[in-house]
Amino acid sequence: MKELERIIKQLKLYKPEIDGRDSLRESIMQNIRRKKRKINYLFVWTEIVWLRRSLAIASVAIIAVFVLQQLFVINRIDKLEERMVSFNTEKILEYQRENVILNSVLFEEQFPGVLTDSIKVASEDLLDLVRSYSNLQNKYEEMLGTIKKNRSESTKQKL
Amino acid sequence: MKRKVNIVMVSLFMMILSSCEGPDALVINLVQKDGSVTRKIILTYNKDEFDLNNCQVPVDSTWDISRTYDVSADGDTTYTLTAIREFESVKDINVLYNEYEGSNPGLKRTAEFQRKFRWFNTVYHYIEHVDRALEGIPPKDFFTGEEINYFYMPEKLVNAAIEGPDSTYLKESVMKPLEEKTEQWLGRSLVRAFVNKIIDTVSVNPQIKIDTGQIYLKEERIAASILFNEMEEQQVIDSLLGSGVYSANSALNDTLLSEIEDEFSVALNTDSYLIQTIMPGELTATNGYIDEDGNVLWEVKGDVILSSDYDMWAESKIVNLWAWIVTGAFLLFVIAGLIVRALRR
Amino acid sequence: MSASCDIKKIKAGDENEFRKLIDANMDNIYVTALRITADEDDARDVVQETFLKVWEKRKSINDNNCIRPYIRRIAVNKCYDLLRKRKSRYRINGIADTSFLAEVAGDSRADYNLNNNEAVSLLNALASGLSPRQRIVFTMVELEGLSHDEVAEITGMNKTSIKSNLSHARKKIEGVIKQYLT
Repeated sequence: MKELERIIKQLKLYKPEIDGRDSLRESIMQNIRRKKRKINYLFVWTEIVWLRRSLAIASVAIIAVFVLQQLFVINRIDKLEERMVSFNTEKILEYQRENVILNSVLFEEQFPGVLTDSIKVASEDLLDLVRSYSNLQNKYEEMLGTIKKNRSESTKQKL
Repeated sequence: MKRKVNIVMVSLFMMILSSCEGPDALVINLVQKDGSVTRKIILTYNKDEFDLNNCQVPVDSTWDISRTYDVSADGDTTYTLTAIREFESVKDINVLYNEYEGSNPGLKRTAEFQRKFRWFNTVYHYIEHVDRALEGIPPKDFFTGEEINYFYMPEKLVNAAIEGPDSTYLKESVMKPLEEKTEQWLGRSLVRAFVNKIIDTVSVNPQIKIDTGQIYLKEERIAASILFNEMEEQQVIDSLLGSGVYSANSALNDTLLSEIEDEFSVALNTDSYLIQTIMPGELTATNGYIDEDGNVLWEVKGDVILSSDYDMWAESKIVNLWAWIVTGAFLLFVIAGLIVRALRR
Repeated sequence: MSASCDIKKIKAGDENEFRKLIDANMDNIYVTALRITADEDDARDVVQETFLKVWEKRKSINDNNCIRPYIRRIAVNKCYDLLRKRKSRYRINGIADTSFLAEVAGDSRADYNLNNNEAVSLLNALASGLSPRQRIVFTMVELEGLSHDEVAEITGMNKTSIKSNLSHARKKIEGVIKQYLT
């Protein structure tokens, strides 16, 4: 479109001058001085590169130290539970059950062939197996309990 | 005169002695932030006979003493003596330990207090330390982790459990095997102490070359003989170090066994007592046992100090609120500065 | 221009040197700002804010060679911020007297010189339907004669976006011109 090109050409030729060029420049300089004065002395340190970086690093370090220290303390307090003396039936039963199974395996190792169809397993794996078995049995017993309870409730309702 | 070595007799003697009668002692250490300790000793007995000069722990008539008694429903009377004293620092407790010649004179006991400033928290550490009686086999090298737990556990707590509903299981599955193993350990520890004594004596002679690894292997083989058969000291030494070593060394004489017996006697004569420590602030860690009431307890008894040092330590912390505030203000200041700068740009 | 002032001194906070920098660059910045904003007061504001920002950021200026594009980039960004802020209340000024438009657009008067009022109202009218980005791209490419690469560097836009914005701007302006001339 020729009209557009002509208008663009005219606008390109148009070089306006600033009214009050000097006053605008001085106004800029005045603003600069005013801003300079306005610098909050509390945060002058932010203009000093090494100080700003040091304080930023120090802040991060403090936060890291705080988090680590708290995690360390929490972890230690959690471990205190291990020092609490409690003898509950479940734990001792489990201990006994584990011992019985472990002893049978050890017996087989010492006197091979006495127990047939046995396999060799690492004691840690065996303990894991025994504990999983115990968990499963506990859940099974819980389930039986729930079923019994439900039955007795439904019987009561029928009555 | 040549001495006969029959250590099993000594160990049995030890077992018998450890069950001797006397007042039960509980030592309560109330540790303060400044390191001062208020020590309270509670003695309980079925007779109103308390000999303060022969107590398990240092105590005398200068302490603040009170006496009470309690009659149970069965008509049994329990007498209680409570003695309290404030110590400015653990140094005073250590002075008392050094000077005391009561019922546990052979025990080398020290107390230690540490305060560590960790900016956000101050950590307090209190340790009651008892030196080992002899160089035997440390329990941690002989027992499993689970067994160690019951080995160091105060008898009071074990008894409470044994009287409970799980007594059969506890007795049969836990305590009985542990007792048997403890007896083995006791004998082996005594043998080890004897062998170590021989090694120490011989190693000063440059003409005799010894391989400790080999000696310990031999010790394993002849341990049963030393324990259950009477062997002359010469026989034991020659079987460990080679024939003729005993007669060639004047340093090896009959006094070795008596030295060990002296060391044994420290553990043999140990009258057990309970220690409870109350730390300033929040308890964060301990190697003691925490009972149902939250008390941190240890028991000093013959077998726990026989062949390894016993450190009874507790650690606590107090939050330094001022440090949290100062840190918070500092962080706010830095963050605000960085934000202001970012906005300015 | 920039050879006449010492960047190192400016970085050190020398106000006289900075005054020289303003003298050397303010006219160009004013023209660019006026072409984009189509408002003399806004253009003055842009000039003022641009140099204030240059002063604040003086420490991050690298050397004399890049100072001019650097100032221009700040100015264009200031224009963009201003257009976005004023978008909602921006007046669409029509051209009251369209007689000069026919002369400018016609081929009979190639030597026609726009006065201030005419130029501003013309810019205002042409750009009134354009988005801030389109205004900036149109001004930079068509009126300032910058290449697409240079515009991309100043505005941070990619070339495809520049082309698309320019094409849309031209179509809209052609529509406006047609409307006025008929």
